[in-house]
Amino acid sequence: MGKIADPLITKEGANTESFYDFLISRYIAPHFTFFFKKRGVTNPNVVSLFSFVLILIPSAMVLIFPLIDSILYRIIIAVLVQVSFALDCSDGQLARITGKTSKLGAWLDKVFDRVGQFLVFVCFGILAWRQYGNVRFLYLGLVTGYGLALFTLLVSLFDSLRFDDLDLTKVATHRKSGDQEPDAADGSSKGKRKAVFSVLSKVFFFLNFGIGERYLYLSFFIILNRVDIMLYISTFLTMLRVLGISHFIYKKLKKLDGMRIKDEETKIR
Amino acid sequence: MKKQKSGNQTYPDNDRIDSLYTFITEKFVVKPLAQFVTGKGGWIPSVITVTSFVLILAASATLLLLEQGRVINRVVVAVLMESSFALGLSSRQIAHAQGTGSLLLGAWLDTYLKRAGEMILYTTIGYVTWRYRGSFTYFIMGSCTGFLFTYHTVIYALKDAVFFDEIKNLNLEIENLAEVKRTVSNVDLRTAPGKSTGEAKRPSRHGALLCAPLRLLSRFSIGSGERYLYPILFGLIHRYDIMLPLVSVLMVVKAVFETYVLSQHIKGNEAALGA
Repeated sequence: MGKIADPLITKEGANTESFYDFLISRYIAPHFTFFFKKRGVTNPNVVSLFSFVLILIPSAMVLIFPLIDSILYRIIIAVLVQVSFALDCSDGQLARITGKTSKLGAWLDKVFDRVGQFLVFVCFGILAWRQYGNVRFLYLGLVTGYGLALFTLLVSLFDSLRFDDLDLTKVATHRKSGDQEPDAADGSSKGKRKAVFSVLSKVFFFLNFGIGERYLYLSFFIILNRVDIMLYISTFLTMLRVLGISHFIYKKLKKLDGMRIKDEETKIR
Repeated sequence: MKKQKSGNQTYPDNDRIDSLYTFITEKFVVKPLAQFVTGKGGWIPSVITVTSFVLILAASATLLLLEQGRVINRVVVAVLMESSFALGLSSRQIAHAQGTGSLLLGAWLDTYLKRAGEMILYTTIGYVTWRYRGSFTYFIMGSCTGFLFTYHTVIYALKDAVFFDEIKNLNLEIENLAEVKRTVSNVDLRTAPGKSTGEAKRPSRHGALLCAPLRLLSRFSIGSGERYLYPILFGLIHRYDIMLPLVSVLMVVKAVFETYVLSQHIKGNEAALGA
């Protein structure tokens, strides 16, 4: 599929959190966006709901019809997962090109995503448990689902605690794109640390376990009929992500609290 | 500018007395404990929060490792759960008494660890019931209930996050960060100062009739206190198999109802902003 160069659509690409998200948002999702627009579906919330229902279908399929040995069956599941993800990307684009961006839409999109991801990983955990006869896979699926829920909790709590003295936009951009800060070039240990952080951010941009990668791994390993490997990788990356973001937010909030206490002390003096 | 009154707070599971059990624990256990600890000085609220989390982990481990057929083991689990709940509540009171109640790290840590602890506890209860009663459904019920506790907090936090800039721009007279946190959640942009859009849309009579019992059910049947009360009571009589269906159904009703209410709230606020 070709590239669509509509600024309202490419804007989505700039906000993606990883390489795979970027690819889908830039090259696949716009086709769905224009398809919906042509067909007169202009309410982005309908697309979000459709994406949510689409992710529930493969989850239910693996529970109800465990025909996992059939390659055709596996391909259908993989395709449904990918289409659901592309629709998830296209709802924002549709909202922008139809001028129907809304707070409710942003909120609903996130809520659907989180519930869908939890259910999909738990269902695939149950599938692997049945397939390999090892209950460990059920726990791995559950831990991944919980980890993703906790990750959202951490980030949304952090976002809702935003205040004037913290420019989260800069923090988020830095975290996502790995932009080098000005003093990263100097020779001090702080500068070196920031330079290392910047390189790591770039690496994580490609290896990040964002929503796109979750669905990519899911589709890839289901086609190979190796859900067990997918669960190991997902659990590991989710835990890494939760620990990383917890550490990051902990440090940020500690710094903010420190600044605030200092401010108050100055006022008292 | 007129200051907004604070009532409902950002993370209702943590910050509001939303159940009878929370009220009783707060009045008879937490307040005396907080007064005692504050008098001693040197107690850090975040340490108490972490201790509360460790206690819930200990309760889960005890549930998992010790034979629940013996009464003494069930009592140990109940005591650990109750201690964890009381400590969780007291950390906030101690923070307020020490004048550190507005610090962000404590608020964030408190919510995060409580939800993580509840997820672990309910999954463990589900697992133990599955092992004892032989039905996998109990495990699914426990896991989903644990997830829904987190889901409930996430939808509130996401709502705050999407509206934060607008509320900040209203220039409300806010004294400290805790007040900001409360105001962010509480403010109804339809009636906020500086917004003359006025008329908040009232629900229809039928809608109000339906909402009232659901609101009562969702608030007082499975509030923050009941999440601990039910495992304590049903654990003591060794009937988690009755508790899990009850709690999971209540939690599903609560989640669906609150999602609906929040979506209406967001819609209303957005309409006010547009106007």
